Amino acid sequence: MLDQENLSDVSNLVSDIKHKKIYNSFDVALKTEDLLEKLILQRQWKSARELMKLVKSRIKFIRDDLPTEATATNVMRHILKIIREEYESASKKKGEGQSLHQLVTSNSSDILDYSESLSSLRSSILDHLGEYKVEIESSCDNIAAQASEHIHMDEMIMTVGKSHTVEKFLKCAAKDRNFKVVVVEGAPFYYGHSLAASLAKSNIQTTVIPDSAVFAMMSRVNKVIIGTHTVLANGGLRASSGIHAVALAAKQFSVPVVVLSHMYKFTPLYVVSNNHEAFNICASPADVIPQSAGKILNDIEVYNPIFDYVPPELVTLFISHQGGNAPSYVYRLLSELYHQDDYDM
Amino acid sequence: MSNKSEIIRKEKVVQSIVIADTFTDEFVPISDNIPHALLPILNKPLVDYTLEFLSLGGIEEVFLFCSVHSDEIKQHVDKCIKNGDGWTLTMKVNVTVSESCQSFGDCLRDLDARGLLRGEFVLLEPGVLSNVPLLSLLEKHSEIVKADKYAAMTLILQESGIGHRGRGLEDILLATDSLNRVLFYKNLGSRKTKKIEFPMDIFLENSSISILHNLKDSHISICSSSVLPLFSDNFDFQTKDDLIRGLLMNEEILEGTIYAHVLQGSLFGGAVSSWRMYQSLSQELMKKWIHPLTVTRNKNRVLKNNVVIGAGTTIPNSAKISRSILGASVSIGHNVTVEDSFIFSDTKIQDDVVITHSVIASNCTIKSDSKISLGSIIGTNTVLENGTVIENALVQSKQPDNGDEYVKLGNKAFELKVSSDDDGDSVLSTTSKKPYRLHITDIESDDEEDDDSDGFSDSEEELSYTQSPVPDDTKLFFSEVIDSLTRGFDDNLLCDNLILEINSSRYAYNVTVKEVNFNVVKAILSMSLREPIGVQYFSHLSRLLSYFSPVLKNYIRNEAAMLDCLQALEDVATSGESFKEKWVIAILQHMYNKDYLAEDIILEWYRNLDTDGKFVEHVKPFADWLQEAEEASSDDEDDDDSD
Amino acid sequence: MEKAKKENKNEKVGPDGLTKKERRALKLSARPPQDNRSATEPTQNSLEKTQVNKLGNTITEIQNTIAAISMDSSKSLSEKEQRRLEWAKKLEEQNKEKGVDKNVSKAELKAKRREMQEAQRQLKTEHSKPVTKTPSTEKKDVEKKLETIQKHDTKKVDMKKEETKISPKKDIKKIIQPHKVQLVQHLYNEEILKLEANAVIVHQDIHPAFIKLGVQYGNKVVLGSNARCLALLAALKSLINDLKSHPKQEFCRYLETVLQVSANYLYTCRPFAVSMTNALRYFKLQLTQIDTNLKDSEKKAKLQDIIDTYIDDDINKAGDAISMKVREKISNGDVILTYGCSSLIRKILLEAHNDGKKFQVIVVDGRPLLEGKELLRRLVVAGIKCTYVLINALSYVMNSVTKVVLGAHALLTNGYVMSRIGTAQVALVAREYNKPVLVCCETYKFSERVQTDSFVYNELGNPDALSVTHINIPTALKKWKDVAKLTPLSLLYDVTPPDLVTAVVTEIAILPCTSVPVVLRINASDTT
Repeated sequence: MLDQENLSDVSNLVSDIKHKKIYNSFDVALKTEDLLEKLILQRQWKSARELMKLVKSRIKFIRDDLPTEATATNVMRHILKIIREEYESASKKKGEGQSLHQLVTSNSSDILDYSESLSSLRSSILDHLGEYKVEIESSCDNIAAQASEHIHMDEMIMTVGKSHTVEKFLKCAAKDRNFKVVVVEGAPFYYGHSLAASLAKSNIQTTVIPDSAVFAMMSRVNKVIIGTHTVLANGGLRASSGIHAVALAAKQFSVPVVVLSHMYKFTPLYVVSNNHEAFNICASPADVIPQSAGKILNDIEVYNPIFDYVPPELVTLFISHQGGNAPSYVYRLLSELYHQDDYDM
Repeated sequence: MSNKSEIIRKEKVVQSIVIADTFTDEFVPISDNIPHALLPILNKPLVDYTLEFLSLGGIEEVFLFCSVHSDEIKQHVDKCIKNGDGWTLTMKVNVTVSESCQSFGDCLRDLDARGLLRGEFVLLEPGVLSNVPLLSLLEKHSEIVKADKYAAMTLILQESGIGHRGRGLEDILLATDSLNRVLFYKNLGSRKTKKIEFPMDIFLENSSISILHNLKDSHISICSSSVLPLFSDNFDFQTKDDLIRGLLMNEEILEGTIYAHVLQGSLFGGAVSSWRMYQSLSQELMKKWIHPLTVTRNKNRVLKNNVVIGAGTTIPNSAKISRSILGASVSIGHNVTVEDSFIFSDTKIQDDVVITHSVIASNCTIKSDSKISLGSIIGTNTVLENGTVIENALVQSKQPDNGDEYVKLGNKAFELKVSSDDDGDSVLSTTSKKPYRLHITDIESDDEEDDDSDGFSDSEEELSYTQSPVPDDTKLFFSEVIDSLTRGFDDNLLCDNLILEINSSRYAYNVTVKEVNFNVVKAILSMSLREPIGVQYFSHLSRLLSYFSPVLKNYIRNEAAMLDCLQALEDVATSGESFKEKWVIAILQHMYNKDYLAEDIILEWYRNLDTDGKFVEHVKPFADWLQEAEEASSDDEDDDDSD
Repeated sequence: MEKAKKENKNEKVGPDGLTKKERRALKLSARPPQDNRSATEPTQNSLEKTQVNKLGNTITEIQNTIAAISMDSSKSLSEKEQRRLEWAKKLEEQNKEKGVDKNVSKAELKAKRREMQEAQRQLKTEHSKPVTKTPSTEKKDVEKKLETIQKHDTKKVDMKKEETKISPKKDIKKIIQPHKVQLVQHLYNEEILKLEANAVIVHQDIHPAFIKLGVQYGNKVVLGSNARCLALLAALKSLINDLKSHPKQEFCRYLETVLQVSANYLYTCRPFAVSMTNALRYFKLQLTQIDTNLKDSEKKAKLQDIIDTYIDDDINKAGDAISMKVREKISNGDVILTYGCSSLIRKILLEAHNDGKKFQVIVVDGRPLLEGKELLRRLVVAGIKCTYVLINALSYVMNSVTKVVLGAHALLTNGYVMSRIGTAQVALVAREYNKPVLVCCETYKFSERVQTDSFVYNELGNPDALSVTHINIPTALKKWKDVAKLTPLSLLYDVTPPDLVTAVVTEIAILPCTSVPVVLRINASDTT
């Protein structure tokens, strides 16, 4: 009864993602935020708990249909946190874990169950959501603004594939610094090619190398700057295929690996293995070996994974709109982003 | 009212036609119970994939045309809409029913009559699985139409390597010009023809032609608005192939041209038009070639050995399953072997059953110790008793009531006898090896090689009007040769002309080269025998021989010809006509001197002669002389003329 | 001229070393050219002559032929003569059209005169003509170069220069300059030289087998260190066979000089592989030790024998020994990962399969050469169960791998393995997942060079190959030449540090990487 029409907005979102109508994490984040805004505005909900239930069902829906899609669920989780915060401040009751003293002195009546119906809740949540939206939209620029702190003159920067954030970052740095960029092409998707073309147009000296040349080039590279699809709870990355090898080579030559990530990419999930269904998708093998190969296709297996797992030891720095962080600090960031109860769903 | 104006103001809706029925018997007996559209592939009905593909491609309105089992299809579509499946959000599906249609062409004529389609649309044959972005193809087609207003259809074909599993039955040979217009189209199917005939004018009229043989039919076409009227106007167009052939043959009359577009890279298109395609498309779907169409994860599990099982299926440890697809709630007994097979939902397989390369429909029960193999299809609700062995057969649960022959295997199992001219593949039928319904690797690869060599000889037989030369013809030929030679000699005609005459008679009577050599020499020799035997004999003989020397030179060119010549000589000599004793020697000598015959050939021939006959005695002196005379300069040019 | 061509079919070379054809042609060339045929079909020799002319290379006059003259080539010689002169005439006309002042026409006259002298000189000498024997790729290559040269011709005409020396070098440099990657600048010079040198292509004193070899190397038809070495040795054998004794020099010395010239030429087509260098060095050493008292034919036979033994022992038998050693290490159920296409690895896997071992192979491939496909095809045909991935999926498949076997181009003295680019990456990821890495390399590929990174010595591949996908669909990189700041870079080799390699399998033993200098010392002491 509740199910069908309610979840139609989410199924729309899911189908858009599946059909590649929205591809960028940025667009997904914005769309998710819009979706929840509409939900909060238009749906009838009486208490925070009810609202949270609605949001949680949507998170579950997305997780069932698109296990690797993390941005949408992260945004939703963050919004859950926003709801909790607003509720707490509106009911003027303190939430859990504020301080040891409060923990000891609190009594059962203080424990929040979010079921009070508060009139100001809706508007305060919407205000906060508005701020959040601005944060998402300006996240890219904020990261790019930090570029000159990280890139010096005459450096050789290596990047992999195409990340919108990295592109902006490099272009911003190129305004006052002179440096060279090596782009790893990222076969079989060849995103690196479009990034290289775009950078070269902005007058940055760019070289394109195939994936196999990473180790060879690494001895001359000063920094590796990459974007990622998701940042996992242990500080590891789910990034595009081939980045693990790049990170390993960087470690070998002691080259710092800087990961540019927005806050909506931090997810509270851990991954178990690289081949896990929830972790990786394989795309069409035709990108690796064409149909015209004929007879041998009957007898061989071909894999074309989209993602790669990079363990946290290989990452030097995370840059978000608030500044830089070490991978070991990620757990703390997560606790600021999401509420403990919302981690596992 | 306002709605209507809205509709008019609205931009053109992207439309598509999906014909749901194959109108063939390919999928009997399963197609008796479930419509082709609902045939489960990787445990999801076929039409779901088609609709998902269409919505991915950007289609907004679909006309799903059904003729049989239309209720079930309608129910299914309604269920999907209720469930809120992916495609329902962006696409509207109209289930159009017409019970009276008997063919693809009929359906299109019906749709034309209803007038539902405006402008260009996508036409899909039944069972299409694909991941092609249709909007860009539609745009491309519009551009082609702008350039050529008679463009009727763009065929979408897929690049595919030779030997690829899914290519065998969908082989297409195409000749296109530089603008991708189709000039020649041939669906090679499963026939292993080694010879293709092209109409000459396509080469004469076009400056550059590409002949493409690396293609497979995707069964998707982009059609202009003229296609439906074309079907309505021509009642004999029953299939898409008919339309293509018709348009290519009668370009001026029908005013339609066809273009082709080849899919490359990760774009994939194919249709389940037969069991083989079903098998190959299942594999390709599983291995992600049709990304983003995939196995629905929450209802299926992928196991090792390329096995997919549906929800609720249990497999005991002792079972050996590989490269198979099992539906939902299938129960497998102990020690069961299932290889390269498809088992639909709710089937029970009991212990010790062996199933290879077969399809078992839903709700069946296969009792213990049965063996099902080699491309058998077991229909819905069948019950096979203990120990049944089925190979390459169709089994259905109800008694066939339309006069087909059958064998009763049990209360709910009737094996259909397939009539012999099933496929109408005349070439293969001569080798009496119909391809199995499913591709069976080991057997198939041998088959292909056999078929290659057999097919070749068969095609020779087929084209031949060259059957082994009928004796009558040879005699006629011989008499003709003699006539022409006699005439030539009498009228003193040029030998070149004589040679031409002989050659043309040869083609007229279809005589082999061997026969020609033989007969020509025989003719010349026979002519010489007709002259009166007298003093003039040998001079006449030598005159004759020298006159015909160009002829002899032309026909006695190699060792085989030499042997023929000697054979002719033997023939004439032993044929009973009387001749001078030294005639044989004279001939041999003359021929040897003129270098028509080589020494060793003569000696070899001599050795092989029948030692009893008189003929040998005639030849002996010459042979001896040959053997003694090592150098050609030896002076016994004994002119037997003196005789 | 037509008749003359026909007559030539069965002619024999006259006493002065010229055929009738050539003599006639000489006479004709003395007269002003009157042919009407347009020089539309540039052939290799005309190309050669103009280039030779313009760059002013001196041509050594060597009386003895290295190869037999084919009748076709002599026929075409006169045609070429005609066409060249036609061309010169055309240039003259062009000049007149453009109203160039005297200076240039003088230059043209000089060029023409030089051409004629050239032609006459060449007629006197009998030089090899590889026209009929070379593969079609060569012709395409040649035509390409002809275009650049024609361009340069007209450029020359346009620019009012006094000297006829071409400065196409400068022009080319101007175009390529912005597209150089500074890091590998030193490797680029060879690239440019190659462009030019190929224009100078055919020296008359090079055996056609070497010319064919050069083109095959340049077009990457022959790939792989073993294959290149074997091809070189085969060409060497035919050179020895066809070499006629020099009246003034001793055979072996003469062979040395000829070999040097040929080797220089080969080097300009593509830098030598380490295997080739080692093989040549060995051969030269043996050459110095041949007994000078033997007859020439005996020397030839001995040299051929030496080459055969080398191939047999150092390449084939070594391969067998290595294969045996590795086969012992392969057990049933193994999943073996390999990279690219190494002939030695292919041999090992096929023989192991024939032995009846049941294993799977994962073939990893790298752009733009995509050599792994070839290995994949051969393994599949033999019935081995294979998986195929690109190098980006390395981490995805590495979990299920049990062993990694790699081929090598060369082993350096400091223990580094020089191999196809991407090998180091495979070894790196393998170490991360704790999989053993075996490098298989015959001892004849060991080199005394030392290298610590992949830039000091490397080879550049074709940058255009990067701008298309594997099915030749152009990517966003297609117009890189127009964008000054954008350069694709394709290196061919990289060096793998010894700590990433578990062991090196050679025919002598299974060694750690760092034992290479030991083996080199042993080998050196063997031969001295």
